[in-house]
Amino acid sequence: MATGAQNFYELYRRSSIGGALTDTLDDLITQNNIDPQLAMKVLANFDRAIAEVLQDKVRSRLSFKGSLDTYRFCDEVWTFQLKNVTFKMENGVHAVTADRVKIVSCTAKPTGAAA
Amino acid sequence: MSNSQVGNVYQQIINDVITASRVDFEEGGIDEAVLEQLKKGWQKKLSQQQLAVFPWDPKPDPPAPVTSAPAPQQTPGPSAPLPTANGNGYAQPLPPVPQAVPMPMPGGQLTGDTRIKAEPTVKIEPGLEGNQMPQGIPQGDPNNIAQQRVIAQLQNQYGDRAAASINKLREQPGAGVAQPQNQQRMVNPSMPQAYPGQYQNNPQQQYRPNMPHNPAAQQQRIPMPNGQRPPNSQVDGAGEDDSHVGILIQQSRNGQATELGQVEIDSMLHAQIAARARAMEGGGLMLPLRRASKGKAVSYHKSDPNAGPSRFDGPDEYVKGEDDDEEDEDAINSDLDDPDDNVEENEDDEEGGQIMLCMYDKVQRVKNKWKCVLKDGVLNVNGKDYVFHKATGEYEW
Repeated sequence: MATGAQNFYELYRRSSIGGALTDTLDDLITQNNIDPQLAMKVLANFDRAIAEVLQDKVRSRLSFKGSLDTYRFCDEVWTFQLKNVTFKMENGVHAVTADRVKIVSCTAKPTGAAA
Repeated sequence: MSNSQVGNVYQQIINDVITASRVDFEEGGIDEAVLEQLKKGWQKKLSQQQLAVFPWDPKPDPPAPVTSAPAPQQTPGPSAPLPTANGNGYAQPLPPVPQAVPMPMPGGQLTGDTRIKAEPTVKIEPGLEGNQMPQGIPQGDPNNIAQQRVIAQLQNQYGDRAAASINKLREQPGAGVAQPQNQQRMVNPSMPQAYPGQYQNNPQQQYRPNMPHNPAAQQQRIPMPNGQRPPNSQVDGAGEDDSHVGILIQQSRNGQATELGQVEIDSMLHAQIAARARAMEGGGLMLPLRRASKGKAVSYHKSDPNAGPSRFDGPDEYVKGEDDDEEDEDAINSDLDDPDDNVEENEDDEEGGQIMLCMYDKVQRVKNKWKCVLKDGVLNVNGKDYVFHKATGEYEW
């Protein structure tokens, strides 16, 4: 994954924490506090930080079941749309259900192509 | 996968990003306070979504009202009592009253000042006409000061070589004064009785408020002296402003003597600027049809009462464009893809909240049974965030 200094997926920018960062950067740009180039650098830092933290700090496991509505594999990115999904935590304390969930997944193998 | 872990994980991500971005901010010459602003804003946005319990939540909660409090303080702005009165809450209705009252007041005070200033000049130079008197006060001083400064600087820099240009500068004030005089004579016919009367005889002017035009005359007189000053102290052709003011007044006089207040003038200017901006954008071609039609409707409302100075780009065409909206089916289009695509996009949008972003190690399929091994994921379900290191999924198609 950390093949080069800059090859990290931009995938996580769609997450809630990435969206919050993007919105905040947008606000700062519209207020003329920073320029867009700097915002891009911050987002690149975010790509690297979230990848490293998820890889190194998170140890929890999860399993889920459901029915697959649509699937797509393009440019080494899997996209699934699931229906009636049940997520189970590893400790089994509680399960979370959702009627629709979308999964966007990039390959974990270091092919170097950033999504 | 856990939700309790999310807070710490996110905080670590935020700290990492802020630390890594500090160098970039320094290289870009951006103040550290902006970086702090970024961090606070980021955390605040996450807290608002209530995705999880965040470690910073107890802290930002007290600061949050503090940051929101300055906003209402800034809007009232100049009035000093407001911030203290804000705490009471019921004191807020009061400020508008002083705000509304002072608006006419400064006008009266200003005119009072001009009256007072007009007196000494009458005494000093009784031979001149009253019209020129008020000019002499604002004109002479700034002009001379600026001119002396320029001359001194030229002498310092170039010495004797600057003599020619200094001579020219000394000749210019005569021309500089002459121009505004001419302009004022052009303007004065449009402003009949009130203007000379106010400056010639002060006692008379005090008895004149009976005139119906008086409020308008006072309003107009305020911009006029201000407008007269720039051309004298500036050499870069600010005289156009004068002519604009004069035109506005003339129109008002000729057309039923309607008085153009500040608001009306502003709205006229706004309509003109908007029309020019649209003209620069290719007459609205670059805008979505809805917005183009909206903007035009607005300009219609504004241009009609003002007898159309802003109406020079033929907005009629856009109205036709609106009507053509439904006939566009004949245009070059494929109706095969549109409805389906829209449905899919809508589905995608709705699921924006229910999404899992991760890496995959393995994705296998046997007939209609799928198995996948995922890792390093972020999951948002039912308004909550989860993170996982490893996930296995089984589903049927």
